[in-house]
Amino acid sequence: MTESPATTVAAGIRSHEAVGRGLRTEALEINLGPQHPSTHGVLRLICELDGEFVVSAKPDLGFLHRSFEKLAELRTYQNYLPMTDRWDYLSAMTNNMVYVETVEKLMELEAPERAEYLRVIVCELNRIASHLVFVGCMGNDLGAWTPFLYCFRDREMILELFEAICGARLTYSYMRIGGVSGDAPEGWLEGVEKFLDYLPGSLEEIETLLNGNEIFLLRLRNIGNYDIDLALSYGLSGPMLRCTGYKWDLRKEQPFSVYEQLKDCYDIPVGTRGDCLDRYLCRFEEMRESLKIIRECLNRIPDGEIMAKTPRTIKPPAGETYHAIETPRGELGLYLVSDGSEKPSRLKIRGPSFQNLSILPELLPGWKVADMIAILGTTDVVMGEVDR
Amino acid sequence: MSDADTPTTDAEPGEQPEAGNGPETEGEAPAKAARPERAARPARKRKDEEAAPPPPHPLEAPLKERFGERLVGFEAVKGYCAAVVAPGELLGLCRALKEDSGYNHLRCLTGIDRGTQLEVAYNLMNMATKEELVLKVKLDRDAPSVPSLCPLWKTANWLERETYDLLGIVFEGHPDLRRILLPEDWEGHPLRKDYDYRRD
Repeated sequence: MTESPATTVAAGIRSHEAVGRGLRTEALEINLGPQHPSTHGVLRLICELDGEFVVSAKPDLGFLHRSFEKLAELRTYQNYLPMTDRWDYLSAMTNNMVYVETVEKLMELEAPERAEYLRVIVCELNRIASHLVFVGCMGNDLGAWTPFLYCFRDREMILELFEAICGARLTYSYMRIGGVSGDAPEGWLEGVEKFLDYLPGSLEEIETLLNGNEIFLLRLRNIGNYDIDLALSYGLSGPMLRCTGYKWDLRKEQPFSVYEQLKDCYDIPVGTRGDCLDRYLCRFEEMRESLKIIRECLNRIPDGEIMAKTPRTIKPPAGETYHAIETPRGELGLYLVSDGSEKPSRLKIRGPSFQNLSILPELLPGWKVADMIAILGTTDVVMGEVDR
Repeated sequence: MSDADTPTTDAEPGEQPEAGNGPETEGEAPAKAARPERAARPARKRKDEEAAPPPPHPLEAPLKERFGERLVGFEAVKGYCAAVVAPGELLGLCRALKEDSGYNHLRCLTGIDRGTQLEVAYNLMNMATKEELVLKVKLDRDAPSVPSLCPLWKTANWLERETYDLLGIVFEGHPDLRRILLPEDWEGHPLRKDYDYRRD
């Protein structure tokens, strides 16, 4: 079967260019998702296409809405913790972290130092695990299957470490209001150190597969770029903001937990072009920086308690506050209102993925369908956190 | 300790123990190990003692001086300066804060049901100086309406849609005020305290 030259050409040009060339094109409305491997969950994009070009893209959200904000009002503070694992399920540790820290802030409670270090170690391990999923899926989105397997092989080691310390591989519920649920078992910290020695070589290996691959670079460089002003207006955070060159990471800017003491041992990678490639490279480099943070934590972690003395029933005094931390995806903030009872009166979750996704209707038009997949991939959304 | 009392995560929404009537004793300040890196924390007050009002936030005085009558008052939000403004003043005030004071980041927008009133809290931040501010508007429960901040921050678009969806607060001037998380034909606004979540 031979394709006529007219149809193959028509795919690559816009309809106004087709006029007078004997070609006929028309606008086409298609659904990308909610069941589609490239949407990383259940995102539905209603796209209008002109040939191969995106004319408009409207995200349709809510397929994974589980009413986590309402559920918070119906549960005690401790009972709500397992829910936090399910917001951004690729980075449950940082969700735990922001929740317990917000409640602790309201209660004026401080976790023991050993617990804080354990929290930072698991959060940074989780950041690496999350970015490994991103890197693997990025290759996968663009047609490279092999890096995915390499990334998941390495992520598996982190999951095994998590399983050893808290018993779970995805929904950890490791932290507690006032500390962590368990101390590192014997040999665990040494296991982390072994992983730190192992990963750099493996990252280099992945780098040779992707970062130097001509096709991969062409698919990402100068694709889906935007500038600092647009990023700030949309409230983007994390690598989505840093790819534009704006150096902003809450671990440095508003240090929480023990990050203040760790601030000299790592750097914040930023991009210059604000395109897909910069977003990819920012995340890739962040994994190396996280390794430095964890190594510093291992040097500094003191002995001692892992739980502060907390009342049996958590009842923060009436009041409210906002607290935000840097997750692998950006600023995850909670606005917590307490009425003095044992249940939150209002818990607003400001998820980074929700804000990062909101730029798509403005960003996608004008790019080709294949670029749309690349842009979507580098947005690194987790729908659990968008829909909540 | 606390993990012992978190075995169930799927408690029936219906079983709601009376808030505040637990038999447990509390009020003992948690003992804290000496930690040289951190400033000493003031001892926690016993419950029956009247807590002294916290000192005003350092941003409060300059804000009062600058906007005077346009601010209705100040509220306590832990760690933040929180000013209450009339809904009609919100857009002008935010524009002044963004254009003249460098508050370039709308961090968060939270709708809260206070029972008698609805409330919207805006977390603003100046990313250069890291100064932060919370602005609040109090709204009539029956006809909650507040100007949209979409002309100033594009991020307000989805945040306001979400607040409209879950609390029924109308943002005037919003370019596309539709539900965002719930289906379009959903009835009611679930985060209102009087929403009946038990119906099937």
